[in-house]
Amino acid sequence: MTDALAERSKEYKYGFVTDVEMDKLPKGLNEGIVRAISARKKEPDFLLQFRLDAFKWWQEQEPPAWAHVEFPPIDFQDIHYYAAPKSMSDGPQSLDDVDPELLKTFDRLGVPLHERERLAGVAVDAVFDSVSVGTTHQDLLNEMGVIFCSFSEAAHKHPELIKRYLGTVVPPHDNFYAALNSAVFSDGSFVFVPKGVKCPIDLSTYFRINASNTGQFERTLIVCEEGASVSYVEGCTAPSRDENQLHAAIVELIALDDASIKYSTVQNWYGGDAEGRGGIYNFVVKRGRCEGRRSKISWTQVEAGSAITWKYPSVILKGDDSVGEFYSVALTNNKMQADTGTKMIHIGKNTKSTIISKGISCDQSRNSYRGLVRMTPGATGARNYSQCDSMLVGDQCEANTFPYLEIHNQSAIVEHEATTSRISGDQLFYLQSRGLDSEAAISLLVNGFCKEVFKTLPLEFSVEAVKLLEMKLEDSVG
Amino acid sequence: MKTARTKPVSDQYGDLFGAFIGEREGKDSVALLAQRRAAYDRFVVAGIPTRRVEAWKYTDVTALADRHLAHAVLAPIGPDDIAHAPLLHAEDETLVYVDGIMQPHLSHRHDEALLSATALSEALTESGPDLSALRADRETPFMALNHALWRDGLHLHLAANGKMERRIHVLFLHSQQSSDVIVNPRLLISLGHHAEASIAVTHASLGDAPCFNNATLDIALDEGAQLNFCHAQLLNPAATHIGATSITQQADTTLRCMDFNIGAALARHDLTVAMVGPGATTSLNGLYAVKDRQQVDCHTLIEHAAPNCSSRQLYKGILDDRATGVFNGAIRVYPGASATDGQQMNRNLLLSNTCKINAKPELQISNDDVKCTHGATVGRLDDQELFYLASRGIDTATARDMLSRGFAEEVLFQLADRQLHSDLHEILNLYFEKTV
Repeated sequence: MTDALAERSKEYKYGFVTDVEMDKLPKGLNEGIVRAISARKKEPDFLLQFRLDAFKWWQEQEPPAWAHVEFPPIDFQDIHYYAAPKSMSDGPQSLDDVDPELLKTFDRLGVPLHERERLAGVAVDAVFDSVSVGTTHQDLLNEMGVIFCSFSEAAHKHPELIKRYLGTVVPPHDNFYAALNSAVFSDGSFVFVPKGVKCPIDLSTYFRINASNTGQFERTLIVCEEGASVSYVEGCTAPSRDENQLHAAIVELIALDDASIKYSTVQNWYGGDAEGRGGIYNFVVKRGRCEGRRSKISWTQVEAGSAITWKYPSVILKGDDSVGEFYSVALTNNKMQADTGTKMIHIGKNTKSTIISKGISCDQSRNSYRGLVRMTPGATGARNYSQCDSMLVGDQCEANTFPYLEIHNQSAIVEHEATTSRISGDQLFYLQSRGLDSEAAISLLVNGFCKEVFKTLPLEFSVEAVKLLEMKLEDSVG
Repeated sequence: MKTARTKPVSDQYGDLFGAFIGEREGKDSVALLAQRRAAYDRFVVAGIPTRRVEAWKYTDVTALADRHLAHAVLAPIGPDDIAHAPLLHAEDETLVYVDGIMQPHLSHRHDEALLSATALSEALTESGPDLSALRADRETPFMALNHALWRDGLHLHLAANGKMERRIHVLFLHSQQSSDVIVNPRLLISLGHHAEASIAVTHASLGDAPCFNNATLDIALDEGAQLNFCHAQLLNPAATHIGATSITQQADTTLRCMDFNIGAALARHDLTVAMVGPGATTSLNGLYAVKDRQQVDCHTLIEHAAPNCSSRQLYKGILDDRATGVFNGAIRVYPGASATDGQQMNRNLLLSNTCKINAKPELQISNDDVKCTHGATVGRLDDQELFYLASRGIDTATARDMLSRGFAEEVLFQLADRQLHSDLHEILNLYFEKTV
């Protein structure tokens, strides 16, 4: 590691690079590359057709520009669309066959892949650049009938499920980045929880970008059948580099009658340095559909990284009495930009949604909440409550709120409120006069500000999220 | 892109402009004629925004691109013809326009020394202000069209320290025309430092013919000035209204504003208040009440560009039948605007199951020393309130009527001017009589 990198990685401790031999497809995107990705993964034909159709449509589109973020145009021909550690190309049969260098990487990241060393209670699928490295806890999950594996594996073992659900929530023609992902997606996780099963442990995917000049395009699909439930957590990091790297993922959730899916994200991609050099462009489409009656989908996100975060985890509330939730903490510092929020589309009767969004902007960053609440004419008795609070730290940052309320049903009740404030001198003075040092005081105030969101996270992630925010805020609040 | 962001305008606008500019030769200064031509070119280049443009996301105005419009040809109008025009009171300083043409014989002037009224075409000499520069950076295509086509633009100026006791009322009327006319009201109001005035601007129809009313209004408040301003859009249900009102507040000015929208088939009002001097305060109250197939679109933008300014906004909407409403209210706080206090509340009452409301309250904050909040609610009449009234022996129809009126009254109540209050109250009565 060079000195400069070492210096920087003090601020961002996941900024290291793992030296493994990579199998990369050449830069650029054309039909050949799409076919090559599909061939590398030995995919069934329907997936190749799915990719080609998406690619054809994508070529006719222009990148969207409506978000409140600024970045130079992305050269989509200057990206490697597929990168995998060489040692993975023969397909290791078990974790013991995995390159020890890779396992070390995940150990450094705090993601235990060896089950004997693992913390109890979380099954992990680790994705390194374009491929899944290994998935833990298979025996326990198999016993319950829960399928949790990499997307590539699912395409081979459960093509009928993939065929049935892939692209049903986020169609390939949904938008520019969704089409791009649909054409070149490499790996990701697939979760299927059969009827009546409550998944006994939290499932987790850890995404790691390692190679340079690559984009990461993973695809996650979670299906919960009638009465099933699952809690899923994702985490992500990337090396510190001066270039910007594109991460355009798709997450699709489907909940049938009485099913419940809880999806938590702690996002800590590299966010660039203080001058705004480098960092990940995190342009992700996340959407869930409450297909069945009384189903529930809950998104929790802690967004603390990425040069640009541009995503709206959404819920389509189709089944009567279904529930959608969105809890978010988005922290931006340095010159990071975030335009994030949610969409709650109420279609079924008596559907309910709650939106709690907390934005913290520091330094010269730009933090925007953008959220849509739509009550369609059929959504009789639907309810929504939204609360969006922003906290500004420093006088050069920006905090914006752009809520869209589209109400086409008289009986719907919609409430939205937003506040903007800062950590005030009075609050700090009071806490310091009670003997807290300034760091502890700030941490207490920020924790109080974000409490409603943190309490929805699984415990160990909640602790991690608090630490992450404290670390990021250390230099910004003085 | 799948669809274009703008729709090109048809040639008939060229004919409209050609006929108009020919008529203005000799009347307008060379500079103004050049401004008009430039403005028309900007309009043509810009085209009519489609719903892909964020500011027009919920209101489709593309039909204007090829609507057949004509210039108004005015038949003589006497005082009896306008006897029933709204908000008309003999004691006011009244300036009456019919189809965009100033009507001195219908107007009442009492205090010409204090309040000067100058034709804009005279004010805009070679050395005069460049109207197109007033809002160069945020001109909409409709403002450009207005600048190209306004006929009897007016500059009202209240001298420094002047206290105007009488209400000033500028009434823009549309006569009964057989063809669909385009009218471009243009008004510039300035208050000298520490001047005080109460001004009402009304758009209303004398008949039920359609028209395209494309109004542009600028108000400048010099240091310490105080203004009570009422904007009332009461056009007939066939009219199209597109209005842009920009208010600039210097230091220590006070603005109390009422934005009342009840008329027109399609009405869009962009109200911008820029607080550029420290210590300015704004209180902005708005009410839109629509029914049948009416569409109303209220955009407000409050700009806090100086320290120690405060703004309060209360906008309420009532929708019935198949009406559509849009409220888009933004508060923008610029770097350096410390100790800003901005509050906004938008409440909507839905009286039918087929009406729609799209609300978009926005905060854009670039400063940490601020206290800003906004809220928006949408719902129907509260069941518990209806039950309470029923339990007191009040029948459902009466109860609904009482509650709906009470909902609107909160906004009208903010009017300090009792006469205006009762005038608007009566207009609202007509809305409720046919609704609840």
